[in-house]
Amino acid sequence: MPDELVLSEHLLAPEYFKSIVFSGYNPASLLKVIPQLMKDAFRIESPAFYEDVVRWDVSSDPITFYAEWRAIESKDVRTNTVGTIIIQGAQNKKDKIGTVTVWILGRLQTKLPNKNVLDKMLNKTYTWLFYNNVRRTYLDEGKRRINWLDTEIRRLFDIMERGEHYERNP
Amino acid sequence: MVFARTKLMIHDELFKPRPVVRIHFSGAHPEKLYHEIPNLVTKAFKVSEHAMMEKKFSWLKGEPERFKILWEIDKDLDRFSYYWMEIELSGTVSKGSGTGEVVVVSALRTEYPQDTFWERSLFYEFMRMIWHNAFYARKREEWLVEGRRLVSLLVDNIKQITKEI
Repeated sequence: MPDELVLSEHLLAPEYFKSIVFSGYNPASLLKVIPQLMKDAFRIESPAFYEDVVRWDVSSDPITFYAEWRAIESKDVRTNTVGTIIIQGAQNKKDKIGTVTVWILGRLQTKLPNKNVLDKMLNKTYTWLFYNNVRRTYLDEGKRRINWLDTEIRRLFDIMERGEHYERNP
Repeated sequence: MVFARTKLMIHDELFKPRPVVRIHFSGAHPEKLYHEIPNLVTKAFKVSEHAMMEKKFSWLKGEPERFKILWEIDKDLDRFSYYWMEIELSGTVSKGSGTGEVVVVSALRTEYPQDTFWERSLFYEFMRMIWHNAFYARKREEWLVEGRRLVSLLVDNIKQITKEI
């Protein structure tokens, strides 16, 4: 029997990611901006923020780049929200015109002790009776944070923002 | 929507034999429809913004500017069934005017979970089939008619807005 029971859910269900494709001036500026945006959105400090991959190839024209970042926001002792942003793009050296695709992903992860039969039994009762509602609130919060990130990225490039009916605050 | 790893899905398009509705239009600021479509959907289907996911957003600057946005909408009807809809808005805009296209695909989906040993057993499947054919099929027919009405209403509203652009 595994020691932990992990419940993992996508924040953006039914799809597990959302993508933004932008073509225009200086798309590589995202490389500088996204770390701070993610920290602001998930309200975390540097230790909970991970720059997993940054690839930058200046040997050719256009310059190509790829990066992955991960932010882990601790909700309570059992649950974390994990936000991930992946970007991939290319940019001309001379006029800085290029294209970038941004993928935003989010996951809500709950880890419950699962060492013995008692744990297994109590886990089901506890999540069914009490914890489901709490997780649902976390899911909504996570979704709001991702929508906020989406809005901020669009604002950066001065492209069409989301409508009034979407929540604005992370 | 059923949360299950393995499930049996019955997918019935609301409009047959042509499930896709396309609206072409041109005029001033076709990108304005980006803000209108979510409002129209939430009003027509009576769903919250959480049931409407913007899956893809593409904006290519230049002359003309090109945009493409894809939404997915899920409206739960009961434990097993929901309306599924995809709306795509695409177009070009140059100096304040341009052309656009709205594509609407919609379906009624019913999902039966098949995760557990009990749900996969022959007896469960037999009972489920009897129940589905005896009681649930009629309910689904009603939902199909209602779905067609709602999508037609939505399409009419979109057409109205494209005329005003």
